Amino acid sequence: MNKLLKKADIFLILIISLACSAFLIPRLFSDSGLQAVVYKNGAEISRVNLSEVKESYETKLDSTPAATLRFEKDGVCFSHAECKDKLCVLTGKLTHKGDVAACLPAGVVIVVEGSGKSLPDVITY
Amino acid sequence: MNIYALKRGRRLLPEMNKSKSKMLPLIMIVAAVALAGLVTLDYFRGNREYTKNDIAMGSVVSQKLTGKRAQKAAEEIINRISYIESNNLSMNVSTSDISRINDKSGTLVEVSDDTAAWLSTTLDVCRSSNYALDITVGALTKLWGIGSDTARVPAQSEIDNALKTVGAKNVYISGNKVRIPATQMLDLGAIGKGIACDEAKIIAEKQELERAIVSVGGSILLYGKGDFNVGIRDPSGDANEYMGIIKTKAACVSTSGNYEKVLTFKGKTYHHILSPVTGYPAESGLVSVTIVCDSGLLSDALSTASFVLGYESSLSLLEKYNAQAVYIFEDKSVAVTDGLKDSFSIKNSDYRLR
Repeated sequence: MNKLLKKADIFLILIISLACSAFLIPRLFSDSGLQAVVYKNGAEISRVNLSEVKESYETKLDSTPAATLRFEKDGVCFSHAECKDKLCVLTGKLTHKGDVAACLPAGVVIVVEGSGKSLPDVITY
Repeated sequence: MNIYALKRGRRLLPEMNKSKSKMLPLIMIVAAVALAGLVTLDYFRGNREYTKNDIAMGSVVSQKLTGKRAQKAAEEIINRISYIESNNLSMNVSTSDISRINDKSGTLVEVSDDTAAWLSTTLDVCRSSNYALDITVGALTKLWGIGSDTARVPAQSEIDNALKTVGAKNVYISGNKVRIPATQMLDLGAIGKGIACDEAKIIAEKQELERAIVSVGGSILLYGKGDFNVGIRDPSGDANEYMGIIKTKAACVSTSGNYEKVLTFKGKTYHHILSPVTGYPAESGLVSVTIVCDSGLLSDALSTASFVLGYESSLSLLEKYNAQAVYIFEDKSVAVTDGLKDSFSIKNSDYRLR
């Protein structure tokens, strides 16, 4: 072996490199696509990876007024709400990173999040 | 064969191998250090970014913060916004300064220094806009109730009665004491979200954030270095569609649009931005105005004022406050003030620049 490194050193370096790679590679290539994140009263209550949604399904939220979310392969929406204006249902399906819909009386906000860069950063309305 | 050359060749070969075997460990060390560095960087970056979504001021508050204390800052910001809503600004929470002024109209009411300062700044915009922005439209707002469960189209006589109470020039402020005429009602709905953006900025500075994007119901604080891309909602599209993008440095951005809160009655649609002159939803040929300036309060106040005034009448007002704007007209034409000419681009071909 050479003077700079002993066998054991090389072994250690290899282990470190492998461990780091094992951590980094999934992070780099896992662009897990879009996630539908549900917040209630400011706290995250569920996170659904949209690419893993094989068949569309609905989830009734434990909220007052009652509201139902519909998860699809390419997006998420409020499919039903028992409030008066139904603004959350009218918002339609959220399909892009950063899209937001809210049922204000129920205190529920759904947001599409993802790892990629989105353009624009934010929308003024 | 030249025997000397052969000998030299044999001598050269091991030397080359030797230099390679010296390089290899070095490369391995550099690679390992670089990988470990990337892992550390990834870890810290992950820890420095924080996203939070809440409901306050009757709207969604979305925060995207970057910095060592991003999570702490996000919690502080939402707490502060909820605090000023219920203690200072809301006309629906009976303990707020604004509700107390309204409930005791006709008498002098002591309010917090913050409320007094915000009222003074806003009244300045009311005056400068020739009262196109008027924060004393509370009776009208309540009467129409647009955006609430009690929304309705009032009778003309009711509108006339409510209009009699409107007049921001009659608001009296001295230090932190405020008095409005009896029956008058303050409504800070046009500026509350902008004030929330200003408060978020104070916390972003205090917590030494690198970058912050805070949207309070579409009024936005952009804080930190670098460029920000702000989409302007497409007034004809779904809530998450945008018609163009403003590229800007740190600023506050606010939009007033006739699509946001509406009431449909007998086939006619009424929006929530009421004209203090007619008592009906303002009609100036605009569907939305987006303002970019340094202050959240001003961007919010100026967007409402400009919406009511219309394009040409609002230009001098914007100049006075050093604010820039994007106007969208009913015919889908778009006008942009000089300061945004190079940084605004249309992304939906239904729209065209004037």
